Amino acid sequence: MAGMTVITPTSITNTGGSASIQTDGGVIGTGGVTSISLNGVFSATYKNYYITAINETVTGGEQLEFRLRASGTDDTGNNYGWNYLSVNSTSIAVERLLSQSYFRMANTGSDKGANNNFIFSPYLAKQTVYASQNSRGSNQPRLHHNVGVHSQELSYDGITFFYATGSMDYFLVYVHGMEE
Amino acid sequence: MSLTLARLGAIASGFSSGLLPSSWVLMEPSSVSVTGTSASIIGGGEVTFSTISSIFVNGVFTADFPNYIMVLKASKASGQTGINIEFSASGVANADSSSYKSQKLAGGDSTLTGSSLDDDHANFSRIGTSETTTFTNIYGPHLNQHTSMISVCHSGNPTITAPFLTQFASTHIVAAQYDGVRIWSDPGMSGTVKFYGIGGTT
Repeated sequence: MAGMTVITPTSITNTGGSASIQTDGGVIGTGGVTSISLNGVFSATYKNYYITAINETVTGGEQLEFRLRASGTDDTGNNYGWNYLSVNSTSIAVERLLSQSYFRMANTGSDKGANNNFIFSPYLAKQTVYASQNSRGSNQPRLHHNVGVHSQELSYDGITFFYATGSMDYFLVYVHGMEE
Repeated sequence: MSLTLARLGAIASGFSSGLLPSSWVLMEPSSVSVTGTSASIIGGGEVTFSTISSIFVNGVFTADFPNYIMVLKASKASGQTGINIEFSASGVANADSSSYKSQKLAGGDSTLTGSSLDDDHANFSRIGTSETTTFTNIYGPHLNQHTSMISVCHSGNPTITAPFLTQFASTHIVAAQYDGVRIWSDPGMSGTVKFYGIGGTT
């Protein structure tokens, strides 16, 4: 992997709690945030991206999802499909979900945790592919992997992280452009 | 947020090569100490160690970066076992009871097995007579909240001379600002370890 450069969003929006852009380019959400949208993080400068996120104190939620967005609007169509691997103690499960309206980034439960996410070619007019790893922590430690493909060959410049139900009291995310 | 000499050097290097400043920066430990034969800091940040049972690597987590990548290569003369980690501050490891929550996935040949661990340390790698390489994402060790890890370990199993893939997901729930780690295993461990800061100000 070549070097990586943190990309500061051109703007953000959130629902629930509060969110802000840090001086180091990271975006932090606190106080019961349910969604955070990052605009202007994907561009022609980089083909591929690496995202890290730390979550803590999730209330009423289980799965952290994400959608691609363009010019400030999420793609909410059923254009997302992914496969996951979940390891919980001695149980190992896999499942494929097709024609969904979002990707799954992490299974957080109500725990402390963190995850990383490689996103390939979101800004190119090609299908966007992702692969994520997730460490779910404090009560029931779990390891999760997700890989998925977005069916539309369109260009996206942003991303929205959200819980369908639930909220977080702490969410710190960085988007890195991966140098070729 | 202050810049370390290592970070300034990396940024200068990036400019001089015509590249954008990289936010993947090799961290130079402030010190290392071992139980065993020896360890030293070489090449601006790489730590090499020989026939040890434990090593403290201090001063690699700072306010300059939120997240880190640790690359460990290790082997031993005989046998195989796990390699463990604890987070440390000013050379003192945190080993609170049940403060490290870990999930393991091990794959060898056609078999997958899962297991979890709730202990005063996290298991994040394996070691045998063939060199083990472990790539670990470490999230927020210097932030004043929990620290999470995701590790991918490849090892040659000495009993069947076959590759072995192991993954670990761990969370240390004691919120504090850690600046280093203690890595430990059975006596006789030799190898190298490096820490890269990722994210942060460029």
